Amino acid sequence: MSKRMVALLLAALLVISAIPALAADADKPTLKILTYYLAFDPYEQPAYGIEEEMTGYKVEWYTLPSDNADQTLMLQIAGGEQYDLMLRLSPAQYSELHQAGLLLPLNDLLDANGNYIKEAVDATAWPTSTDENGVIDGIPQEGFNGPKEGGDPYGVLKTSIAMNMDLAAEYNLEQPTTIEEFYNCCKVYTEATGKPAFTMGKGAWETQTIMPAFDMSGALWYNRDGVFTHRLNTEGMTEYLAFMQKLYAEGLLDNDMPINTNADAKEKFTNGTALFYATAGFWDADALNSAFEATGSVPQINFLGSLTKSAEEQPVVYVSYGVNNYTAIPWSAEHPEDAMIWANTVSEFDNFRKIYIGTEGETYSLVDGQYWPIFPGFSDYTNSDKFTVVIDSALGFIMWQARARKTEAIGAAYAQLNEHVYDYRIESYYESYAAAIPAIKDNEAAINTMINDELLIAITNGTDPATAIADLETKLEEENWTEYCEAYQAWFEANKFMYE
Amino acid sequence: MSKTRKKAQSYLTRRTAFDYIDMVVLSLFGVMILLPVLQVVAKAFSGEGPVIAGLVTFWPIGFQTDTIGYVVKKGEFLKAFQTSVIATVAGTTLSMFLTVTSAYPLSKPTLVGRKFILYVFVFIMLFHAGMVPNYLLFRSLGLTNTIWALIFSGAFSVFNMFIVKNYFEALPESVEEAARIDGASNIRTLVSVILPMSMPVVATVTLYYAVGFWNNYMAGVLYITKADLKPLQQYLYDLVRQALDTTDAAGNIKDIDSTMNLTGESVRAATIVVSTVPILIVYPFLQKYFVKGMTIGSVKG
Repeated sequence: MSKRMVALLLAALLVISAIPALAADADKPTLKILTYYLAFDPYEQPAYGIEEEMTGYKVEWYTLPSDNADQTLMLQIAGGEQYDLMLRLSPAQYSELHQAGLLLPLNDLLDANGNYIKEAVDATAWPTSTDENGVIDGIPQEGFNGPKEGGDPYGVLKTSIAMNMDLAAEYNLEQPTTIEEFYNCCKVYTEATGKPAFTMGKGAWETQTIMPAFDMSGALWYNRDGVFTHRLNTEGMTEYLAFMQKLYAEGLLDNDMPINTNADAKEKFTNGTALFYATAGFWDADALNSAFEATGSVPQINFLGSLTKSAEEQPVVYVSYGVNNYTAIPWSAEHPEDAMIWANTVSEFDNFRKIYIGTEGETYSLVDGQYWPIFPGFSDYTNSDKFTVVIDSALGFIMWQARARKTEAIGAAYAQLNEHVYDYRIESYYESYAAAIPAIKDNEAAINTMINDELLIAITNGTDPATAIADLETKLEEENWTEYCEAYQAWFEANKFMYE
Repeated sequence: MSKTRKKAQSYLTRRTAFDYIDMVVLSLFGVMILLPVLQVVAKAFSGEGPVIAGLVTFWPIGFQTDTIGYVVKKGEFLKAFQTSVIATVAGTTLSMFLTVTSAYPLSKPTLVGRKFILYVFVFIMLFHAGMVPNYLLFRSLGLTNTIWALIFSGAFSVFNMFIVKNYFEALPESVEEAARIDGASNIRTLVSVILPMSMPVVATVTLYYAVGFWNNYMAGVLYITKADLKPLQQYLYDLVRQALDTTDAAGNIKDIDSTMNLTGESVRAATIVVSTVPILIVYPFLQKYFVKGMTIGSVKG
C-alpha cells in the first residue's frame, strides 16, 4: 500500500471518528453522568441522541452494578470519582451521601439555572432534601403513581389477582367482588378439582387486592384517628392473617406458597392448576397469553378489582405518593454548573415529553387528554424514563399511561383493571417522603424482611394471629423497631396535613 | 511373566465393588451437574410461552433459534462479550508472561535471595489488601473505567506461579546444560528448551487464567461503571438478578417501567448459553494436556 493510500485511509478514519461529536457543542464539556444499573445500552437509545441535540452536551453514561450498588457508590464518590451528575439515586443512597457530606449544595445552582426543576418538584418533596439551614443537596423525583388531589384517577390500578374466566365458567363461578365471594369461588373450585384454587409467590402473601377489605394495602403506615399506626398494629392485620390462614388450612391457597417463586406461581396458573394467581400486573398479559397458548388454549383472563368485606361497601385503592429517587451533584464534580443546565433543560415539559415518549404523530398521539402509543416508533422509547430528571408528577402520570398501552394485550388488561376505577374510594399515602430519614432508611429493609418471614410462617402454621403479631413485635426490637416507629411518628407530626 | 507379576497386574486391573460404587456415585454427580445445564440449554431453544408454563424440562418445546439470534445481535451483549474476550486474551497472555518469567528464575536454587523472594510470594498469597485499598490503588493509577482494570486485577496468581515453578524444578538439569554448552542465553533456554518441554503445565495454567478472566465478576463491580465497558459476567449477573428482584420488602413493585421491560426467561437462558460457549470451546484444545498438567509439578523426583 502506498504512503498516499495510508494517508487517505487515516484521514477517512479521522473524519468518521469525528462524526458522533458533531451533534454536541464543541464549547461545552462532556458530562459524566452516573445512574443505577441499566439493562440496556444507553448509547443505543433514542433518548441519548435527543438529549445531545437538545442540550448541546455530550454525555458519557456510567452505571452502578445491580449487586452491591450502595457500597460501590459510596466507595466511588468518597474516593473522588469525578461524576458531574448522579441520576436516580435511591432515597437510601441519597441519605448516605448526604450524611457523609459528599453532595454539593444546589441552592445557587438552582437559582441560576434550575427554573424548570423548581417548577416541576412539588413543595411537599423539597423538604426531603433540604437541611435545617435551608441547604438543598438533592432534587427529589416523585413517582408517577397517581393524579394530584381531585385529579382523574384513571390508571391508578396496576396490580391485582388474575382469574382464569374459562375455568370459572366451567364451574359456574363469577368474578368475585367481596372476600366472601372470593372464598366461595376458591372453595367450589378446590372441592371440584382437588387442586388449590389460589396460587402465589411467597412475596405476594400481602395481596393488595384482598388487603383493602381489611382497611389496608401496600402502605405500611395509616392515619388512625390522628395516630400514625403501622399496619401490624391495626385490627385489619389480625383479620387478614386469619383469612389467609383459613385459605391455607383448607388447601384453597397453594400450600407450596411459602417456597413458590413468582415464576412457579405463574406456571401453576398457566398450566391450568389454579383459578387465581397473585400478584399479576397488567403488563403480565402478553406473557400469560403466550404461556396459555403453549398449553393449548388461551382463556379469558380477568384482573380482579379490590375486594370488599360486603357488597355494600365501596372498593378502595391505595395510591402511594412520594419520592422515588433523587438527582444530585457530588462534591467532586468537575462541571457542576453545566450539570445543572443539562438537568434543567431536560426537565422542561416539552423536552421531557420528547425524551420520554418521542414526537406527537410519530410515536404517540394525544386523544382527549390521554396518551396513546403509535407503533412501531413507540417501541424504541420503552427505556427512556431512565434518561429523565423531573416533571410535575401528575403530568408524568398521564404521560406514563402511554407505556401502559405498549402492546394490545397489555393495554386491554390495563383498561379492564381500571374499568370501574371511578367507583373507587382513593386513599393516598405519603410514607415514601420519609424514606431518606436515617432511622427509617437504616432499619426498614430488615424490619420488613422480618415481618414478611414471620407472618408467612404464621399463615402456614395457623398460629393465633394476635399472638403471632405480639411475638413478632418483641422480636422486632432486635431491628430497632422502637427507634424506627418513633422516626415515622415524628415525620407524621410534621406532615400531618398530607393525610388530612 | 512371573507368577508374582501376574498377580500384581491382576490386582491392578481387577474391578472391586468399591470401583463400581465409585462409578455410580461419580456418574450421579456428573448427572447432577449436567441436568441444570441441559435445562438452561433447553430453555434457550424453547419459546417463551412453554418456559413460563413450566413445560420445558430437558428438551426444548417449540424449538426455535430466534432467541439465540436476538441475543448475539444485542448491542449491550456484544459490547460485554467483546470486553470479556479482550480482557481474557490480553490478561491470559500477560499472566502467562509474568508467571513463567517469575517461575523460571525461582526454580533455580542458585538464585541469590531466592528464599526471601519465595517468602514474599507466600505472604502475598495468604494475605490480601482488601477491596477498598485495591480500589484506591487502581483509582490513583487511573485504571478505573479502563480495560486495564479487568486485566491487571487478575494478572498474577502466586498459586499458579508455584505450580509452574515446581514443574520447572522437575525438568532434567542436563537438558539445560546442553543448551548452555551450545551457547543459549537464559531467555533462549527458557523459550526454546524449557517451554516446549513444559506444555502440560503451560496449557493447564493458561486454562486456569483464561477461565479466571472469563469468569471475573468482581473486577467489573469494583472498577467499572462505564456503561459500555462492563464485562460479560457482570452483564449476565445483572440480567438474571434484575428478573428475580422486582419487589421491595413491603411487596410493592420497585420500578414498574423496569418490571414491564424485563427480559424473558428464554432470553436469559440464551444469554447464559451464548456466554458459556467460548470458554467451552477452549477446553477440547487443551484437554490432552490438562489432566497431566494438573498432577505434574506436584511430585518431584
